[in-house]
Amino acid sequence: MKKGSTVIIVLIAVIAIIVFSSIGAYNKLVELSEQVETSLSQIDNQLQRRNDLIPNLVETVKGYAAHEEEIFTSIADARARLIGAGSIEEKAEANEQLSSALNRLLAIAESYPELKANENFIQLSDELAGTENRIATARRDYNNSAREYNTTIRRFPTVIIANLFGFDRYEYFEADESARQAPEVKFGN
Amino acid sequence: MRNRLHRTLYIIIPVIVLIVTAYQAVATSVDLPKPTSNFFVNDFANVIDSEYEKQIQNEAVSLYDKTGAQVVVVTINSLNDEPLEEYANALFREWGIGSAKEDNGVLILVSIGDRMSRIEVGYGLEGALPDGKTGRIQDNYMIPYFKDGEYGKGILNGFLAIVKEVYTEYGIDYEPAGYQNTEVYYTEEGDSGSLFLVAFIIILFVIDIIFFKGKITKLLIMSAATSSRHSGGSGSFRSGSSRTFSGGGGRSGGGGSSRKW
Repeated sequence: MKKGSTVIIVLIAVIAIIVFSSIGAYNKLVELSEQVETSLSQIDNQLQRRNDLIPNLVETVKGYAAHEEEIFTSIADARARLIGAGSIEEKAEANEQLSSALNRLLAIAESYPELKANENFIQLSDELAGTENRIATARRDYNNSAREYNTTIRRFPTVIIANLFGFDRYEYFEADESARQAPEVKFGN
Repeated sequence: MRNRLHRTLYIIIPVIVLIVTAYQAVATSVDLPKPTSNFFVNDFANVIDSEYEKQIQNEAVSLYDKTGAQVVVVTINSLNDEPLEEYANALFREWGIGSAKEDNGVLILVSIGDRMSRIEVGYGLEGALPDGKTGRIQDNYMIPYFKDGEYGKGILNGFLAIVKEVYTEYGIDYEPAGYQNTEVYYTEEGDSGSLFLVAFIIILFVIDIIFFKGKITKLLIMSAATSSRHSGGSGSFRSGSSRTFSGGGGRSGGGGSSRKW
């Protein structure tokens, strides 16, 4: 009788430890994935912000350089692709394409001194450069939190909980290195 | 047999060294300086006159006391090939400029060697200081002075313009003293003490060359190159009061603008 109760107590203790550590691991995973989602929505915010900036910028440039059709078309294409992008990978790729198209748009200002000196253009390109940089920062934050999450779900014993409750890994928001650089704005007066 | 072992070691050791150094290079990718005890003025490149430094510190402290916002000036000699934007953002977060709750910090970063400057704005002040405005502040108040090598003047001017905007954000009408004051005065830096020091170093160098074939100099240069990449001047100025300041855990998300000159 005494032996039996000891076994039961030990059993209960073991189960309690397993249950509590499972709850802890589960909550940790929830917290981490929430963090990943937050930083992902931060990227989306900034992408949207840039999307709102583009029409103004394009209009301003058109006022001085209307015949640079090729660049305007490539911006429109990349913009449409980004809006249609579903997966994170697609988004990262479309983002890279749009960034490089916008970089070219800013670069043509070098051949149009009047455009380069335009107050409105200077302000818009600052806003654009700032937004590009915010996207880069948000992406770094996202990738860091995704990396932490992905490492955690593969680590023992959390991996058991992750498999049990279907915690999947997050894709990284990755594109070419060249897209990491925000467009540089130079106004030598 | 022995020969083969030697040959293998010859191959393996360089590989290990290569891997270890590559790993270290990744691990220490952003090498950030620590804030000075002034916190608001960190003239690591030693380009701001002590007069101006004092003025910036005093203005920053009174802004901090009245609003809780932190405007921090940092000058460095080189970014060490780090992108300006990433460096500024990492420094901002590492130092925690502004409060954690309001993220009301601003960082004015000037890299003298790279001829680049950046105003990085914390999340909480992005409304008061949109990217376009930070660009204009640099164009109008700072870059013209930087082009003439008057870094202290340009930094003070830009700093005051930002301080004014932050006060406005907090509903305080304030005109900092010395705002748009165009008079520039320099304080003499090279006094006889430092001349003596230079002479002393040259004598030591000559002794080293003659008696030790320059070994000591070589050693010093190598250790300086590897260890203290950020040992910039500590600045000749110390805050008059005994107060010390530090960051409040504020963050920025890459807002602001950059300039080259």
